[in-house]
Amino acid sequence: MFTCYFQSFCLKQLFLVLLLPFGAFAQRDTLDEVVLHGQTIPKEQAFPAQHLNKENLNALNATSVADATKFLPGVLIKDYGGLGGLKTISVRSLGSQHTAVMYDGMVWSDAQNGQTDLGKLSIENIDKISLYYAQPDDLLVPARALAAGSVLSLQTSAMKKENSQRNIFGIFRTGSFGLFNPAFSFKRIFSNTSHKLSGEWMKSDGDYKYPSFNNSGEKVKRINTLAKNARAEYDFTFQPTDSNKLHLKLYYYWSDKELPGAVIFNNTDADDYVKDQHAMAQLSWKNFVNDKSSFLLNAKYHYLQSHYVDPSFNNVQGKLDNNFHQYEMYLSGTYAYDFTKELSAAVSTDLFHNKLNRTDSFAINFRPVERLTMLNALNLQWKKKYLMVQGGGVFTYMKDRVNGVSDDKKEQVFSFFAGINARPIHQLPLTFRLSYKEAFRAPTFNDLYFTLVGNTALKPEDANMFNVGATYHYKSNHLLNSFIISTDFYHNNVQNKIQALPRQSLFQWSMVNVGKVEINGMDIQTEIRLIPFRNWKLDIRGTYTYQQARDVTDPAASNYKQQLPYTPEHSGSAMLQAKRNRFSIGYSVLFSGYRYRQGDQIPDNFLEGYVIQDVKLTYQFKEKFKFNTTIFAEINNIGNQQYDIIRYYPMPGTHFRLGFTINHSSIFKN
Amino acid sequence: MKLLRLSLFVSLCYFLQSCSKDDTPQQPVNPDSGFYVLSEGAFFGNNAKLGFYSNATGTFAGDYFAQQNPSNAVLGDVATEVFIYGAKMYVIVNNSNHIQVLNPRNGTLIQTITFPTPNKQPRYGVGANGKILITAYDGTLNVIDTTTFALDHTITVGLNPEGIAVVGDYAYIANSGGLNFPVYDSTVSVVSLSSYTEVEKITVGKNPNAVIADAAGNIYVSILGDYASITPKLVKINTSSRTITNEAPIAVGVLRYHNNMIYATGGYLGSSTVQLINPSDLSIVRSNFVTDGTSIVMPYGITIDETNGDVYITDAKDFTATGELFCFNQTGAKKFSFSTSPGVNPVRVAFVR
Repeated sequence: MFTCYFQSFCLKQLFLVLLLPFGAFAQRDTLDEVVLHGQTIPKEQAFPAQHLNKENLNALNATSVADATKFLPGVLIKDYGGLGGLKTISVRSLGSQHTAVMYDGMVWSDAQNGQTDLGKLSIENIDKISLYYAQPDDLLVPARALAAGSVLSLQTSAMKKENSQRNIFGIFRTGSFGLFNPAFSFKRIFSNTSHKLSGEWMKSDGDYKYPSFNNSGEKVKRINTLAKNARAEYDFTFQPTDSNKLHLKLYYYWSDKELPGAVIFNNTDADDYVKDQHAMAQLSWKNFVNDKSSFLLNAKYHYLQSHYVDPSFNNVQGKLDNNFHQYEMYLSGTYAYDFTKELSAAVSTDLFHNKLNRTDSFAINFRPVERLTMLNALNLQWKKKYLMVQGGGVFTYMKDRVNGVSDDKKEQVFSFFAGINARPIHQLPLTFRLSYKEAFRAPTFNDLYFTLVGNTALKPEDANMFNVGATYHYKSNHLLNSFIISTDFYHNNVQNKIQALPRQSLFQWSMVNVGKVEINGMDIQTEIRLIPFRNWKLDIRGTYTYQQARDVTDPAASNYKQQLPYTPEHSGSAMLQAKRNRFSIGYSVLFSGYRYRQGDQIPDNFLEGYVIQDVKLTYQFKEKFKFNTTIFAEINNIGNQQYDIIRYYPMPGTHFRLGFTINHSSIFKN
Repeated sequence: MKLLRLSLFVSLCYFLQSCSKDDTPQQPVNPDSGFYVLSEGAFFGNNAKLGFYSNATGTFAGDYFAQQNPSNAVLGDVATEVFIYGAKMYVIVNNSNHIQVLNPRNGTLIQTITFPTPNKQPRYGVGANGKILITAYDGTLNVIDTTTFALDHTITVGLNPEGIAVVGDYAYIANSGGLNFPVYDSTVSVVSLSSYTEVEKITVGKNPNAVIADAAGNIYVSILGDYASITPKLVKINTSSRTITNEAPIAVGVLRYHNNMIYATGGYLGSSTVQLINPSDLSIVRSNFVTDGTSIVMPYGITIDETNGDVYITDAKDFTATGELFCFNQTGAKKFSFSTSPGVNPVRVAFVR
């Protein structure tokens, strides 16, 4: 009755791919921010934004970017467990494909499944994480940064201005479940140029214990969890003057991960794995030509390979093998002009070409697919001392080709955005913001062309986003050195949401534009810095999100007006950093309210909320021969909370990591 | 005259009395009787459910298995089949790679039959000659003894076998080859139940799935095709000659035979209603079995009560919400229905008399 050719691979990978749309289920201009005692005070923004700087990141027990972004409000990280597990981000319940991830100013994409696995991005060389809930306010950004529902921007230390001429950094981490993780970076700075080479290797057995799901009380180990990855990065910058900078980056990533999969009762057969390779070259030239004109030129080429193998598949070959190759060529130019002191405008054009190919022997009936995308954006900004108005639009043109043949279908979408930021009472450090943005996300190659599931008639998903918010920033010389509180209320509408629906059987699915989601939410974020007292420095950060994300697709359906699967109504985090002389302690806590997994909201589908607490202790030794060394210890999930974010993908209980860092900076006399 | 009236009166009294419930000898109602409803659950959801409707109480317990067994007993992930054979009930749980053996009188777990190989993937089964015959996706028919639960024989059949039917001394297994797409498999294996070996393969068409038998030695096989150029069909095979006698271009999912009529769901690519098909020539007798306008969103399974011809149809809705069970009489009018919550994707019914 059921033709189960989706068993194992397709269903597991498909499941992962498909589960993610269920609501279930990203750039910068550092010149405009003031960095005060390591705490970033963001400039006034029309569109809401949150940041985590290097000090914040160091206080967290994070190994990947996914771990750190859990501490930003309005974010749902779908974490499938383990250091090698898939982790995707959905901002304000739009869905993971609506978030663009930018790495040192360049958008990374996966045209095949439309999302970035944040678990792959190590936190090691990241200096700053910024989340723009809509888009960055800067004018000098590529059009691609304006075209997504939200932008997660990652900056590496390659973008940092160094005071030294030679910088050597090394870190080694080890810990529970066989973690072995060294990384290094070597930076050489000359008067006009700099070179940076960095590398990282990580191996993790990942075989953590969790309580068996059959209530027997016994603890079982996760199986098929060995993960290895390596990263190498080279950055070259040429900066003849302060206002003219050329940056070249070469990036290579390799990983070999066993896939533990979901825990299936009484079935411990899991032996599939995936090998990935990611090679990229990106070139960026930013030039403030004179006090009126500036331009930004970008070029990027990347190659992504994903090779999945299931060595025990019930077909004649006895295995399943899928080897996908993706290529992207990207060019972008942005020009910004200041008409007057108040009025500026920027125009940008992005052109990129994506191609997906497959080289395994199971690729019968697979035809290579290509997509050409052109974005044209206009961005206007009018600002005075206490008022800023921004508006503009992005015009997107997209055309696909299958096996070298294009059909009549092309997408042409215009998306509009506008925002205001004002400080009505000049004496009060209180600013208000109001914004509206239209965003969309195109169907991915998987959505359109995946064997028998794809639907070539799919339209893009649209999102309309409204936000109103305020930030209050209090500064004083008393105990409360700085206090920031920021609140945003938002309403998002997603239409034509692309969802996987089972057709006539559990084993046969297809992608359809069927969904409608209504999201109402509130984010609160606060940062408190206390004045140094008896050598103690204390920083506290907290976030709280309330979200109502309702499926309003079909009034006759049983899930009408039901909260999206895996989306909690209440969630939040807190971070505390205390520093005294050479010793610092970081305490962080994440909490989530209850959620339901997919289906009716019956007790069977209920997932409890959880509270996860982490502690990090760091000690810095005295500097010797210009070498600064620190040792650190992390205790993760000190409450030993047993939880899963996605049902049947258990997360580890209490576990440890420890390590040391070595840093050497030198300035040459001549 | 008086005598006639009196005798009439007496006859009438006697007639009336004999119509009353107290007098007529009744079949004793078995306090354990009722029917089980098996729900597949979601893939990787670990939520296969076995519910039980009790005739004695007139209520349906959605998760009867959990109710009757200790909390560390689990049914498993994706259950595809339930049948009662002899004094035991067998639940085939495909993704958990095991068969749960239960006592049908009270739903308690007697034994969990596991397989030596991790990717056996059991699919469907029937009982015959004191054994249960289980098809498995690793290309085998597995013969398990019902007393010792030992795996007596593992017979290699075709690729990714699905449905099975027994006629006389032979079992007929549809080899779908579903995991070998787009090549599939196109055969029905004939296995002798005396020698427990495969004796012949009948070529029927790409991707055969369901197999049922009628009362005259014929089997009917649903052929799904390749979801592209090769369209689905239904074939009738005479088991003596082992040749195809009739073919019809109908897409079917689940097949059932009762009282010289075939009942079929549309399955993938097929009709959204349950159809009635004439077994002699495979013509469609009625395109919608339901005659009173009752709407079933996604007819997923059919089971027929052999004692009275009632037709039980399960509704899988959208494959994520909990399902519903409908009971119709032979004329297609609804008798009753209820939600199978917490069961998702209800697929089979098994009767306890």
